[in-house]
Amino acid sequence: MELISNKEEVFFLLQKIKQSGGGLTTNFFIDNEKLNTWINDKQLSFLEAPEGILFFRQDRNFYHIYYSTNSLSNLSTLLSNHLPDKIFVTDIIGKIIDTDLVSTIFSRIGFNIHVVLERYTRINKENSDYYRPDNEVEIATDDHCGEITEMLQKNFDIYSEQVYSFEEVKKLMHDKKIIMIMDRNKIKGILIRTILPQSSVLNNFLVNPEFLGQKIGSKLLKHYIFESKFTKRMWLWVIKDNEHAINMYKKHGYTRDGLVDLVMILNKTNGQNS
Amino acid sequence: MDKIVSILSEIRPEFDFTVSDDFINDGLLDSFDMITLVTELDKTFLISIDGVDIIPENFRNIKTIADLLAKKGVSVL
Repeated sequence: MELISNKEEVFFLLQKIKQSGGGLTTNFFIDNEKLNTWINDKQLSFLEAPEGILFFRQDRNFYHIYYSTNSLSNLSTLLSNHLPDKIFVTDIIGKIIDTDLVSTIFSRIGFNIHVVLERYTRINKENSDYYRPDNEVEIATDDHCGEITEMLQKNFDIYSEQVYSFEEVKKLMHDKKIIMIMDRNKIKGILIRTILPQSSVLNNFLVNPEFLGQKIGSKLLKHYIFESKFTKRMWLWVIKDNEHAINMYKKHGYTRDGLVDLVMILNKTNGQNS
Repeated sequence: MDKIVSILSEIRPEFDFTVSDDFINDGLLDSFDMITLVTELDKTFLISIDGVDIIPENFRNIKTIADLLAKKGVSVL
């Protein structure tokens, strides 16, 4: 595994695959901002083999895998022959029918499905006026940075959800992306969202387990829908088995849009393969 | 240009693509929509958009998409 030192190196590697013929099979969809962060933080490395290229992004004690090859059979050989002894996580995103073939390849070499996420979308219509701002909801400030980071790290799954560092939470706060409901001195629940002019994404949503049953989640969600009323489309990812959350989203007009994210894990450390 | 608008509208019928100059930052397209768009453009114009070209900059607005198609020898007026 060699460290990537600049963005051009990534483009050069991808172009090599493309030029070798047969198209490009990849799950490496470049977001310039993220790519720059990963390279600057020395998180991104690669492994080049005759069958294609694997990119690895280090995250705590494991690596996210992104593959670029020109056929599914090459992907299979690439994964079988070239993965070092580490813990790997991959996201296979697409419509269910499209993810089947790729996930089968990963399964064959020992990856297991860790969790399945489904995307839900809400198209805003005139009747969104039903929603009102909630007086209890406030924008999180720097004072809450530590508590929110701790809540996220304690309650979120590091493999399938983006568990932000203290610095990342601080940036989200400065961008006013976190809303919350407070008890006297404790946070009851938080919702992290990105509202753009035409669409809105619910990034993370968490009710402190101590305050379950107090409709905190519902209040935050209604407030967020109110804030997003000028957008046309809202979307979020939710764990497929999380019936409680799914029922709440459905109640507020979200419907499943057919896109899934299969989070698969392989542990190749200590001779394990599970 | 109409053909590009029509493809975009099939992917995301809820948006008016003619009023935005920045589909990504305005929230009209996300990374998953971009992949669908690439497939549709490949199919419609019988081309193959390179993996290295599948970056947000090339799908920012109707003009950048037209420029990308022009690189592939497709002229959309």
